[in-house]
Parts: sequence; C-alpha cells; structure tokens
Amino acid sequence: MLNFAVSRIMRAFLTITICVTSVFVILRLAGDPSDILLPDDTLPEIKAEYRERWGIDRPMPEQYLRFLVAVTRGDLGVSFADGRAATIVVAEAIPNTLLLAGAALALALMIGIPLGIFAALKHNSALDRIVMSIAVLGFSIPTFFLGILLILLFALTLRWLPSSGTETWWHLVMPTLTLAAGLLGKVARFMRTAMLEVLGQSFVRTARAKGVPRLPVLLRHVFPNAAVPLLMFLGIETGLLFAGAAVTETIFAWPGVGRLLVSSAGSRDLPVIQAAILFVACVIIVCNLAVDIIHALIDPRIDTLGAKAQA
Amino acid sequence: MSLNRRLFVGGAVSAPFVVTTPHAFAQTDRRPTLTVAVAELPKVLEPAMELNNVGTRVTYSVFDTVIRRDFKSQPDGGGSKLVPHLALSWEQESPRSLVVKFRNDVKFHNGDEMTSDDVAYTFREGRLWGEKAEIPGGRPFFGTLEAVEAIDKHTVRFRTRAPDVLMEQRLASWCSWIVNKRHYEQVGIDGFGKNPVGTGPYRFTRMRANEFMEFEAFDAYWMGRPTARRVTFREVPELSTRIAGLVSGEFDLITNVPPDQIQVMSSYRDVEARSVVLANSHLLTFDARGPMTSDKRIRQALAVSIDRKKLVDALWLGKATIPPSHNYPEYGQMFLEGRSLPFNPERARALLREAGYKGEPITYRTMPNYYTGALDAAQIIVEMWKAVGIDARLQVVENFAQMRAPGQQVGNNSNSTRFPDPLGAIWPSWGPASDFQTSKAFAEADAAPFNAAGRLLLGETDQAKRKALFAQMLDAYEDACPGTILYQPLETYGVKKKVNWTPYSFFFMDLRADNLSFS
Repeated sequence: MLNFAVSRIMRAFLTITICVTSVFVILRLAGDPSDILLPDDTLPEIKAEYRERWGIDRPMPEQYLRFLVAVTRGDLGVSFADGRAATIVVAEAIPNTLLLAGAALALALMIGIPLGIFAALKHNSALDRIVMSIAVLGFSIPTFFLGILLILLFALTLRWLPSSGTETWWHLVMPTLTLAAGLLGKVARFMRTAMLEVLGQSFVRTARAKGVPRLPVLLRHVFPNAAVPLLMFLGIETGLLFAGAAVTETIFAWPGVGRLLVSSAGSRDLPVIQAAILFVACVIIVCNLAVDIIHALIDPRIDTLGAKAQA
Repeated sequence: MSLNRRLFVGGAVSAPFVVTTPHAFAQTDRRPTLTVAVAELPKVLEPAMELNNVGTRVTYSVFDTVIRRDFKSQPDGGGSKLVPHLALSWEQESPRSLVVKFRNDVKFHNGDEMTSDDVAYTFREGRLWGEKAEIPGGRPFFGTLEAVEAIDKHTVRFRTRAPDVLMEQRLASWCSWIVNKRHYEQVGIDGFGKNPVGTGPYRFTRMRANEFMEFEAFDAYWMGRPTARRVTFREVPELSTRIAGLVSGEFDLITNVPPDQIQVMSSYRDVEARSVVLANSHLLTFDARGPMTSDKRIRQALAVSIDRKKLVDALWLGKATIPPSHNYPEYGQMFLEGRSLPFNPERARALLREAGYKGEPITYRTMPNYYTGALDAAQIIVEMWKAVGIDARLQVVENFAQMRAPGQQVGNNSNSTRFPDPLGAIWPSWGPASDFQTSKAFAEADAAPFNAAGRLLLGETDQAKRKALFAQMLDAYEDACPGTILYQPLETYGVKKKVNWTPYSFFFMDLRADNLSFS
C-alpha cells in the first residue's frame, strides 16, 4: 500500500511540475505584462524600470531558475498589480472558491444521486425519461447562459435574490445553482447507469431469490457496488468543479480563484496566474490521488502491490 | 427543545429582522448610501500608484489635489479652469520657483491637521521623482522638480530644475493627491495602499480584495458635509450583471457601459445612461520602418482617406467626438482655432500617385477588444482605404508585442491628455522619450522639426510664443504623419435617475457635495 501511495504521489509531483513549467513558458511568450499593466503611452524608460522591478527583463531560463529556487522556499513571487505575495492573493480567494464549489458539490450529490437511483428503479418508464431529460438539460445548458437566466429571473424580474457579491447566504444561492446544474445532471446520469449495471448482476438476483427484501438489497448490495465507479467519476469532476468555477464566479462577481485567474490573465499578472494555476492543479491532482487511494482501500480488486488485477 | 416545522419557519422569517435590528437602532444618519458597480477595482489605494481609470475613480473621493481642475466650468464636464483647492493661492516667485499657500482648516481622516510637512512628504524625491523613486510613474509628472521645501506651517516652495510653466497643471493632475505623512511613515507604502488616509470627502473603512471597497462620509471635510452616508465601490466584471443590479436596485451607478447598451438603459423607467467624451483619443499609428509606410505621402494618404464621421456614426451612435488633431478645446489659450482632420479621398489618390504606390499590401494590426470597437473600426477603415486604392491587410493580434513585431505598418493606440496642454499630451505621447521615437517607428529625420519646436516650447513662458510653437509642432507632426487620430471615445455610465451626478471628461468620479445629490 505504501509503495502504491508513494508512486501516485511521485506521479502527482511530476504532473504539477510539468503543469507549472508549461504555464511559466506560455505566459512569458504571450506578451509583455508592462504593455497591459501600464498605460499604453507610458514612457519606455518607465516601462523598463517596472520590467526590471518585476524581473521580466532577464532571459527566460534565468527567470525560470530563479522561479524554481523561490518555489522551493514557498515563494511564488509578488503580484505585479499590487506588490503583495502571490500566495497571499490566491489564499484570500481560496475560501470563496471552496465555499462555492463545496456547496455546488453537495447540492449536486444530494439531488443527483437520488434522481439517478430513482431513474434506474423506474427504468424505461415515463418518469425515467423525464428525469433523464432534466439531467441532460442540466449539463447541456452553458453555465454562462444559465447564470444570466437566473439573474434575469431572480434578480431583475422577481427581485428575490442579489445578483452579485458574497455579503449574505442569499448571495450563494444563484452561483451554487449555476455551478451545480451541470454536475447534478452528470451525477444523475452516471448513477443511473451504474445502478442499472449492478441491478443486472447475478449476486443481486441471488439475494432477491433468497428472499432479501428490496430495500436492504438496494442499500447493502446495489448502492455500494454502484458507488465505486461514481467515486472515480467524482474524483475527476470535483477537481474540475473547483477549477471550472471561473465563469460562474465572473458572472456573479464571486471573488474566488477562478475569477482571480481570469482577471490576472487579463492583466498579465504572471506571479498570481502561476500561483492560481498551481492551486487548481493541486486540487485536481489531490482529488484524483485521494480517489485512487480510497478506491484501492475499498475495492479488493485493486492490487496495490503491483500484481495483475483479479478478473 | 426539538425543532419542528413551525419553529423552523418562524425562525427563518424572523432571522433577517434579528440580524438587522442592531443596525437599524444604530442608524441615525438619514443620508442615503451610494453603491457603484465597477468592472474592476484598484488593487491598492496609494493614489499615485494607480494612475489609471480604475484607480482614480475611487481615489478622487479619498484625496485632494493641491490645485483643482474645475471640470464643471464647462457644461459638458470638460472644463479645464484651475481653481484653488487645498492651495489657497500660489505665486510664481521666479521662473523656477512656485510658492503655494495652503488652507489652514484641512483635516486628514485620522484627525491630523494638514500642514506643509505633509505636502513636502507627498512630493518627496524618494516617492515621486527621484532616480529610484518608490513610484516610477510619478516622474513624467514631477520629474522637473529639484526640491520641495516647507517655508512655514502652511506655505511650500516648489523648485524646478528649469522654468516650468506647467507646474500649476502638474499640481492639479492625478499625481498630486496629498497623503498623510504620519500615517504613511507608520504603515509604509504597502500598508498605506491598503488603508489610506487623505483629506477627501470619504474616509476609507474596509475593503475585500476583488470584491468591494467601502468608505464613509468624512463630515469634517473642509468643503462641507458629503451627501452620501456611505459609498461602496463593488467589483462586478460582467456587464449584464452590472446592468441587472442597477435595474433591480442593488446599485445606484454602474461604469463601463458600451455604446450599444445605451438604448437598453433608456428602456428602463428609473435608470438612464449618462455619457461624456473622454480626454483620450483613439488613433492609428503608421510605422516608418514599414516598406510602404516609410513614405510620408503614403502615411498622409492613409490619414486623409478615413471618413471619421462615418466611424463615429456607425460605432458610437454619433456621440464620440472628432477633435481637430492633437489639439483640444480644453487647452484654453493654447487651443488652435480653425484646424481639422480632413477627409479627402481625392487628395489621398493624388498622394498615392505621387508616391508611386501600386497597390502593395499594407499590414494593419489591431487587438480585438483592447480599445472599444477597435476591430469594427479596423474593418470599416480597410474598406475606406480600398475605395482609394490602398490594399490594407488586417491582422488581429493578441497583445502589443505581437502588434509591434516586425512587419507592422499600421497599428492602433490611444493618447491621454495628462493635463490640458500640448506638453501634457502630444509631447509625452510622441516626443523624443516616447516609445514611437525610441523604437524609430517615428523616424528621427521625420521627427526632427517636431522635436525642435517641442524643445523650445518646454522652455518658453510667453503665452503668444508658446501658442506659435505649438502650431509649429502640430504642423510638423501632421506633415510627418506618424499617426492619426480617429476620435475621442465616449465613456458611458448607467445611473439611477434619483442620483444627481455629472460625469467628467476624465476618469475621475466626483462624489463631492457639489456634484452628488439625491432626488
């Protein structure tokens, strides 16, 4: 088990390194931050001074080496825009993203799983089709469009909910609905498929033939087996949920990491972009790593010693 | 006690009242609050660090300048008359020395009296104009300073290295906000940026990065009690969210409304669009290093074959302004009457013939969204050029580096009027220290007559001679034609009709009592 965990952690570390390096190179090829951050008729000597201050006047390999050395000390540089440590700028936004993504994840699971189970139990009925249509609508409708629709309905027409900000719990409602809609639909569909697959297994038939009532069969035999692939699926989707909140956060002026990433990319605030990408990469990798390890723990078919998986 | 449905519903209904009751009791000030939704908030509130549209619309309410530009001296909000502000009076002691007498009734937000020590501290070498100044962006404004000396508690002498006729303009610019010395020394530049102390009508209370900045009325303000109890600037990057929030009543004022949304605004009963033409011009640049644009006749042909009125009508609902070149009415006595930016296709064809132009391609690079409407304008201009026989090839690029990479012949840019004088506008934008000249896009030989007139203007104090030198500069610029102005764009705000507030031709948002009231 230890070897398994170590190999996964090493792989995660390699992934982060590749990700951060790619971002570092691409950002520096994508234009000079002084052109964006300073007024467009700033004198060249003033621009040169800022470029020197930000360290982007040096050759790229030197910048990269300095960056790597600094990263080992936990220093991701200072924001070009306000001179604060990039880690602090990103850390300030993390709680908002965790709150929004956490709420969306909880909502998606609380509604998506029961819907999926219900649809599987009513397989091929009208109710199944209705539930699945709602699920397809949920993940087909673009986040941006849904967000604007909700604002038009709840903020502009009904005036029930605030359109932007984080002041109260009411501010959380529309961003959560917007962000959860896609995942909810996917969870419902995935749960339904997984349930149907397990329901058709011989051990379920056997249990029913032995006279075990329907509910215990579902709770003790079907759901735990259907939950394993769902867990794998959620590992990837949770990471994407945290990373993909950028659009929702921008629409609802929710000051999370996604919006910080968008605004920093717009202003070419390289240290902040790097720190934000590092956070997002870490979230995705940690989620996947956690799922890998949990999967290995709960599924006896996964051989953590490297032997071939049992059939 | 168990929680049943009735108890839960009762609790939920009463919760908002319980939560807000302390505020209701504490609330004795009956002045309204003002919430402004902006596309972006400044990162810091050190006023000289944020010399841009995003920063100055906030800092204008927190700080005061030494002298004030009275935008309201013209009905369109573009007045340029200089009036006393923190300064009671000023006197040119010698060509290189300006003595300024300050008011003695000005308090900072922390209760300190404003004295000449604060002024000298604000304009110190290490902050604004020295070789290693903390804020390099201060040098274009105050690089001429040699010393700033406190004469007595309320009198300060500004000494320059050479005669500087623009010192009053500089002291009215967005780089001359007075900061509190004691607080600045206590917290340093970074701390000050997060917790500023000025003398303006609103006192900083709190901020949350990328979310909001909140200010309360500073009732000891020397110009009188502010009309809003509290002002909050809220960052809402998405335009449709800003508009929805304005209509639903969450916001009283929103910024950055594009021209195509002006009609949308007017369709709502209690909301309206208020626009002002900015002291900023969008323009095209012609790179003298390009194979075709190295010939000034071709550059001139490019300039005279643009029908600017059509552009303004099509893209700006006819509301943007076409200035008479780099020559704006706000220059006052320096404004040159009788000039224009001509549209003359016949002249363009003649110039092209003279230059031997045979339809060789001319590369026109533009960024799609950096300047509002730039791509639409480019597509129209290419057609206008085609009509006179110019084969312009449009390339859409992502950033300035790509735009200025070898091969560019035409690009886009904007020029701001830092202060209303040619030396505060065309000279820093196109003079010897500008990017255009250092990069040779404005070739040395072409620029020589322009530079010669500009250098003379720098040292000239006689008004009539200054104006003549400006005319020479502008003639030289138009003859060399390193670029041409398209128009001055429109800045539009969405405002609740109950809010009586006038936008200015600069990015400042004036929320002082004489420009903000509520119906």
